[in-house]
Amino acid sequence: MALSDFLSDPSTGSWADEMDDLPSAPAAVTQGDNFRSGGFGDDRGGRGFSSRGGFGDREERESRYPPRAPVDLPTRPPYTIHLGNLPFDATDADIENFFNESKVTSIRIMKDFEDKPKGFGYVEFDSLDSLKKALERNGQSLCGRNVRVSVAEPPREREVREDRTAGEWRRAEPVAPPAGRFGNDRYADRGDRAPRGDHRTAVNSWRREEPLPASETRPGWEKPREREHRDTSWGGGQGFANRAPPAPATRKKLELKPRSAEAPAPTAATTTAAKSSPFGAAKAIDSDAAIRRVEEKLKQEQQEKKEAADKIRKEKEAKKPAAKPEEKAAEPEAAAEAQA
Amino acid sequence: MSAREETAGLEIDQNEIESNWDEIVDNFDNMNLSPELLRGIYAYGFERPSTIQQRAILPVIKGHDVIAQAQSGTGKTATFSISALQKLDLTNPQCQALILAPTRELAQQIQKVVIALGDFMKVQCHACIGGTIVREDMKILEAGAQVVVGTPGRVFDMINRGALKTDSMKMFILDEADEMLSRGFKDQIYDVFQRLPQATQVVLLSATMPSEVMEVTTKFMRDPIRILVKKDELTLEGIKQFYVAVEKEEWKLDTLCDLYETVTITQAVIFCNTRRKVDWLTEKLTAREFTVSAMHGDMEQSQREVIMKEFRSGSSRVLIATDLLARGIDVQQVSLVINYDLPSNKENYIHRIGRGGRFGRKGVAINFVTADDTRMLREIEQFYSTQILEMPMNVADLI
Repeated sequence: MALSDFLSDPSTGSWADEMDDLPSAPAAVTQGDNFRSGGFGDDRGGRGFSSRGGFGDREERESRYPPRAPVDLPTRPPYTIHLGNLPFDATDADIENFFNESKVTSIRIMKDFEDKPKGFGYVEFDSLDSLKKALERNGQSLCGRNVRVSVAEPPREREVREDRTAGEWRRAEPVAPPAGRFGNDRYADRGDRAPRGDHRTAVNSWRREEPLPASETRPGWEKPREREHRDTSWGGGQGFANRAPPAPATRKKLELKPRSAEAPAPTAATTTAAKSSPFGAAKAIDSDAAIRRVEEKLKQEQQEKKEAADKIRKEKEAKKPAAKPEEKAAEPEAAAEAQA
Repeated sequence: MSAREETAGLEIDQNEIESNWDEIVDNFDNMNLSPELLRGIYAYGFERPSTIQQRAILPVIKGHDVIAQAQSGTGKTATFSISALQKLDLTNPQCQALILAPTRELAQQIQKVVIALGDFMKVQCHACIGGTIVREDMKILEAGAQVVVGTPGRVFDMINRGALKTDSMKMFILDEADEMLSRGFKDQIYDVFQRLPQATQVVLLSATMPSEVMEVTTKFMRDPIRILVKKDELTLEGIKQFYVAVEKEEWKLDTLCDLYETVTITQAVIFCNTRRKVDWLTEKLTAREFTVSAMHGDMEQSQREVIMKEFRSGSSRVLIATDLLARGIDVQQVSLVINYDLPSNKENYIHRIGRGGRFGRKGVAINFVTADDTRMLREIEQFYSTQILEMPMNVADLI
């Protein structure tokens, strides 16, 4: 499959879906002073492409996606720029050459899970001066494409939420009756929850609540690739050559032997004496039959309930045929709570 | 030991926390269980209790707070189900035991185990999960369910609406406790806790109990009985672990296709790290005319149920899934687990490979490893003191 086909295939979603957690860059148009060079053209200023044409109806696009506010220059490291419109074949070395007046400390070309570049990346510099110089390269040609260079948004600092769970979890007093009893408002009291105790404002004392890296990984589980970036001292012009051992150019097909004679039934595995067996004297059991009986039973109960409900409804309908159509729509809550 | 001392100890080394309960009862007959429950246990197929059942059932019945860790597929669900059933007052129709699990599929599975074990007790057990019709949930709970198994969001909602009464609750059981007390769920569990009677007994179970979770437990466990497993004893002898060096991400697909015949020897679960990737891989394999099904949290509940049913019945044999299925799901015919992607945390590695090799059966786990993943694989190996060897050519014979 050609890359362009893959990228345009709606069933695989858009690469933008994955952008949520990444520091995002402002559109180059909003860069004001930095946006001097030609090539891309600032159509608001009337240069380059006209406001209707070229890259499509920009006004319309802008109304749909309001431009982001420009990001201020960072005052402390990391000095990182976002590099957009990046050619797919650009390598780390190309990028480093492109910014030859600045000292690059790391380069990340973003890739999808098939390891294909997504057309943007991040470059970190050693200093603010390097970053400013790099911004001057905005709109210039890298491997045949005019790249967009803009200040990357700093890594989002997680809001330090108050930790409601810091104190004792068990209640001190007996349970108060729930706010909404059954009555006319039984479906209306969702937001009406019991008042929260004072201890919920207690100072955060749990380790896990410290700001974590943006990714879901736990401490010590950084992706090796990121770690490599940090370990290697990336001098300007060096350090890009020997990152990963060169992988063979073609894949070696797995040579698998067919299954020999019918293997023994999957019963108890032999345990050696080295580890004590967690099974004790227990044997592998077949609980499938028991579970299937339960499933049958549950199904039958449901069926009976449904029939009973149908009967009641029919009787009702028979009594007053002109009754309003009952709300039969699925509970909106059901969908809202699909996240469990 | 005071909570503070315990916390300080935790920061030094999790291995310092040790089990503090050694009593075992190696026969169900000697556990003083009610005859009806005992009948249900034997009808379910059990003959003798596994190690965790020998150790944990009695302290739970006696009313202690208990933290019970045991290897995957060694009978934790039955451990807490038997204990809860034994403690029920069957003359009281209200909920007395509340069991929470991280996924709807797991909650439904637990419900079935409870019903099966309690078959001769006339016990009412309801699965209270998201994605179902709220009004029906309320109706069932109002009618009374002595055991409620659910996912946190819906259960909390039901408590809030007053449909699930907490006055009679005696036991609060968290299955996959480390997951339930991790970032994603912690606040929700806390909210539920706030609605329970103060004296509620708390029971936590999981195959993995990382130290930060043990620390959280000091907030609500009272002098708990701890039945723990050292991390170098967590992997099961019966589950052989292998890796395939696929070098590049884009070669994984072809590698999987090479393995397809092996994959279909029995039933297999293939884990990817994102929902999108599950969809993508399913599409690619289907395009190559391999029969696979897929499951992740973006799907409609009804669809999820159909897919689980097909997989449980064996009518689908290869299931591609996210970590939604990493924990607890028990499909006995699964003997192969493939990590198309390595999991993003060490705990889920144990849980994923534990989908195969249930209750002493044989299992094989195959990890696809790119050049970038090598280090993580070695870390897993070291952390659990286990061996992950290169996949041999005769892997088909091991399944």
